[in-house]
Amino acid sequence: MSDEALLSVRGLRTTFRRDGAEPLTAVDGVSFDVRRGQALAIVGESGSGKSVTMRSVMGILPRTARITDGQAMFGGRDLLAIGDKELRKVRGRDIAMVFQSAMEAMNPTLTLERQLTEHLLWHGICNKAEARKRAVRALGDVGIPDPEKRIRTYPFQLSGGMRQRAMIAMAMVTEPALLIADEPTTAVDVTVQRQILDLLAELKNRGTGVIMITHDLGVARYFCDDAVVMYAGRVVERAPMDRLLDDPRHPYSVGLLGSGVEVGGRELPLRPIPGSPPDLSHRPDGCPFHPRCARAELPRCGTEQETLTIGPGRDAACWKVAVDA
Amino acid sequence: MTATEGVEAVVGTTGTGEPEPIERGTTARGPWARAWSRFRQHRLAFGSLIFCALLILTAIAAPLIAPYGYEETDIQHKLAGPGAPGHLLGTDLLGRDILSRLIYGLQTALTVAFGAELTALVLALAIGLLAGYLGGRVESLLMAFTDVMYAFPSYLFAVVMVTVLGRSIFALVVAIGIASWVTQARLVRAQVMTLKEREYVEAARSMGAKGSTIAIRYILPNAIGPILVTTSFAIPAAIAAEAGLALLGLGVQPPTPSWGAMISEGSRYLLAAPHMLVAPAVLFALTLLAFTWIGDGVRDAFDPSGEQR
Amino acid sequence: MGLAGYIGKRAVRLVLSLIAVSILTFTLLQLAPGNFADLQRVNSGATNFGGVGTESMVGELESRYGADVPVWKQYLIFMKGAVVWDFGPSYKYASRNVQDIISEAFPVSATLAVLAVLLALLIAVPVGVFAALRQNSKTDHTTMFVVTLGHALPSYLTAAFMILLFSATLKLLPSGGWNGPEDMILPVLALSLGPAAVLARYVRSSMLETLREEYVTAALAKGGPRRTVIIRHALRNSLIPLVTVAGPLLAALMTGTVFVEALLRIPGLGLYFANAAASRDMPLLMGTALFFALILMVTNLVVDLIYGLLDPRIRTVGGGSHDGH
Repeated sequence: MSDEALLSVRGLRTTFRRDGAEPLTAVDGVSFDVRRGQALAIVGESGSGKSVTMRSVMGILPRTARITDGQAMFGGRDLLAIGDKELRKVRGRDIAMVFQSAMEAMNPTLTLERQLTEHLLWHGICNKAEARKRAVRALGDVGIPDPEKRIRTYPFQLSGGMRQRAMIAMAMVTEPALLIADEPTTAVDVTVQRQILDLLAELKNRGTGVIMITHDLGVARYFCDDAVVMYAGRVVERAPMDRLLDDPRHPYSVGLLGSGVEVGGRELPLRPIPGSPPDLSHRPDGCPFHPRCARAELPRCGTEQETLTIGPGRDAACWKVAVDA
Repeated sequence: MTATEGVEAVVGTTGTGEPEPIERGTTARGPWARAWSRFRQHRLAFGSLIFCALLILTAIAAPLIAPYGYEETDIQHKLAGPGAPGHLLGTDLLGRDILSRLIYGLQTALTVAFGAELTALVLALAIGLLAGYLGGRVESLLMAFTDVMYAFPSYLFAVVMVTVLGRSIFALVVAIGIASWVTQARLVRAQVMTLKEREYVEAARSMGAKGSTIAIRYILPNAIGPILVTTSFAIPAAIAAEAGLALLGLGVQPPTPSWGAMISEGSRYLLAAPHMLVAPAVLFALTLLAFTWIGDGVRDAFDPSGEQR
Repeated sequence: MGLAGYIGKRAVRLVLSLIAVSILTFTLLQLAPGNFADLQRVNSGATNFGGVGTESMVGELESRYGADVPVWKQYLIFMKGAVVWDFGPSYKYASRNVQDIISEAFPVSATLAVLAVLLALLIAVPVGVFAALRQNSKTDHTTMFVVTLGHALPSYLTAAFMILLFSATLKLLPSGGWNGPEDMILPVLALSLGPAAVLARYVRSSMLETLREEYVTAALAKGGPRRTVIIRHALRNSLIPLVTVAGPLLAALMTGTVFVEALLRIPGLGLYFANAAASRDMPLLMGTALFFALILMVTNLVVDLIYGLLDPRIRTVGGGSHDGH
C-alpha cells in the first residue's frame, strides 16, 4: 500500500453569498490528507465548517456557496478544478457519503432497491439485474437480515438502526475508495452507534479510506487514526488521534477534551468552554478562538496565527504551542 | 444538528432576525409605523393605494364627475364608438354614456365590496373571538358551524342569499358578506388561540382582568395584523363577487349599473360594439389588480420574512 | 382501523354535512315570503319567463308539496325524493325533472372543469419548477408576477379578454355557444389560468422545500445527474402534496364554471343554477345546490384517498412497520 494520500486537500476556502453584505467565509484555508485504509476524524462544534469542507470537496454545496480557493487532489486530479461533469463521475462512485440521518438522507417515497441501485446505473457500473444483486449483497454485508425481502421496503419501514445501516450499504454498493461519514452516529441511540462504528471500522480494515465528521471525540477515537480539529472554519490542530487525546496542544483542543468527553475509559470532568463559537459574520481578528481562550494574550493572539509543526504529523495554529514545547 | 450544520450556521446569521412585528399590545405605535414604512417601500402596492384612493374618491363624487346620469339616454348616438362627440368611451345599446355608467358601476362595486367585507369582518370577529376565547362547547359548536359553511361553496351561498333577499345593494352586501366570513372567522380563532397563551395575556388574567376585557384590550389589537392582511385580499374578491353575481343576472336591479352586467352585455354585442366590453373589462381588471397589490403590500408589511404565497 | 373504517367515518361525516347544507338552504329559501306554490303564482304574474308554470303545473306542485303542509314536512318530502334521486319537476323548464336537467348539464360543467385542471397542471408544473430552480432570479420574479396576474383576475374576466382577442380581433374562435369542440377552447383556457396560478405557486414553494431536503443532496452525492435527481427525487416528492391542492381546485371548478358558462352561454349546470336563482325555480335551485355540495364533498374525499395511495408513508400506516425507534 502506497503512502501517497488518497485525498489531499490544500488551502480550501468556501464562502457564502449574502443579500446586501459581504460573503461569509465558512471554510478558511483548510488542509488535510487521508490515505487508503486510514480513518481521519474532522472534529469541531456545530458551525465550525467541517461539513461545508467535505461538501465542498464533493461539490454538493448549496447554490449560495462558492469555493474561492484551494485544491483537492484525488486520483491525480484536482476535484475542485475538473468541473461538475467530471466531478459527478467521481461522486458516489469513488467517493461516497454517509449522512447524519438516514431518515432524512433517504428518499421516503422510493424503495431501498431503487435507491441502492440507481447510482450503479448512473455510473454505468453494471446492468439492472446485477445492480440488484449487488444491492442485496451490500444490505447483507451491513448486517440487515433477509435482504432479499427488505430491499423491497421503504426506508421508513425499517428501524432506526437498520435504516442507518441501509444508508451505509447505499454508499458502499459502488465500492468507493473513500467514504465520508458526516456525523453518522449523532441521530441514533447508543447501541446502534456502536454497530455503525464497528461497520465503519471494518470498512477501513478492508482498505477504504474514511473521513469521519463529528463533534464527538469519543466517537472519533473509536477507530480514527488521525484527527483534524476545526474551529470557525479553520484547522486549529492536526494530530494522530492518540496523541491528540493524550496531549492536546491547541487551547481549543484542550477545551474540547475538557467538555465532557470520555477518553481512554475515564470520564474527564465536565468543563464546558466558556462563551460560544463566533458568529462568522463577526469573526475576531487573528486566532478566532482567542475571545474564549483562557490563555489568550493580546495583542499577539489578535494577529494571524502561523501553523506550527510540533511533532511527526502534528501541528497547531497557536503561538503558545511553541512556548509550551 | 443536521449534517448541514455548517451551512445552517452560516445562513442563520444572514436571516433578517426581525422580531415579530406586533409584540406589545395597544400601546405600541412602533410596529404600525414600521409596517407603514415597509408598505411604502413596496412601490407597486403604494402606487396601487394611490390609484384605489382615486377610485374611491371618484365613486363618492360620482354625480359630480360623471358627464351624464347612468340612466340618461342619447337617442341620437346609440352604440357610438369611443371618441364620439360628448362620449369619451362611447355609448351602449340605449345610447347611455359608458364612462358615466362605469363611474356609477364603480360606486356599486365599492359600496358592495366594502359593505360586504365590513359585515364579514364584524361577523368573523364576533364569532372567532367568542370561539377562540371561550373554548369548550361554544367553540366546538361555532366551529362545527363554520365547517359546514366551509364545505358550502361561498358563491352558491351568495346566490341563495340574493334569491332570498332580492336584488338590492343591501342584499348583495349581506349575501357576499355572509358568504365570505368563514375564512376570516377561522383565522381570528387561530390567532386568538395562539395569542391567549402569550405571557402578557396570562399576566393580565392573573391581575384579575375580565374575559371580555382581555379579549378586547389585549387579544384583538394583536390579531389585527393578520386580519388586515386577509381583509385586504377579501376586498378584490368581493368586487369580483359583485360583478360575478351581476353577470348571472343576480346583481343590483337595472338600470343601476354594475360592471358585471356591463361585461355580460358587452359580450353579447361583441362583434358590433366591442368597446362595450373593452372599457368595463379593462377598468375592472385594473381595479382588481390594484386592490390585490395593496393586499400584497399589506402582507409583506406585516410579515416581512414571509415567502410569496 | 382499516381503510374501510376510515372511508366509513368520512362517509358519515359527509352525509351529516349534506344534511346540514340542505337544511340551511331549505330554511333560507323558506325565509322568502310564501311557499313554493305561492311564490310561483306571484312570480309567474310579475315576471315574464318563457315556460313559467301554468295553473295546472302549480296544481301539480301543490299536490307534491301541499299548500298548507308545514315547512318541516315539506323538507322531509323534498329529502325523501332527493335520496332516491327524484327532485321533482322544475318550474322554469316545466316539462323536465330537476334530476334530468342535472344529468344532462353536469357532464358539460365537469368536462370543462377536468380539462381546465389538466391544462392548469400542464402549465403550472413546468412553470413552478422553472421558477424554483432559478429562485430569486429575475426570471423567477417575473414568472411569479405574471402568475399573480393570473390569480387576481376571475375566470369570467379572463374569458372576456379572450373573446375580445380571439373572437372579436383575430376572429379565430367562436365567442360563445356550445356546438362543437372549438367551443371548448376559450372556456377551458379561461378557467385554467386561475388554478394554474395557484398550482404554479404551490409547485414552486413545494419544489424549493424539497430541493432543500437532505435526500436530494444525498442523491447528488451519489453522482446523480442534476436533471434526474430533480425529476426523480425532488419533483416526484413535491408533486405528491400537489394532489391536495389540485383536488379541491377541481372540486371548486366543478361548481365554479358558472360565471364562464353564463358569459359564453354554455349550457352547463352552473348556468341552470344561475337561471334557477334568477327565476326563483326553487326545486331546481335546491337540487343543484345540494348536488354541488355533494360533488364538492365527494371530490374532497376522493382526493384524500388518492393522496394516501400516492404517498407510501401514508399508504402503509398500520401495515406492520418495523419502526422500533
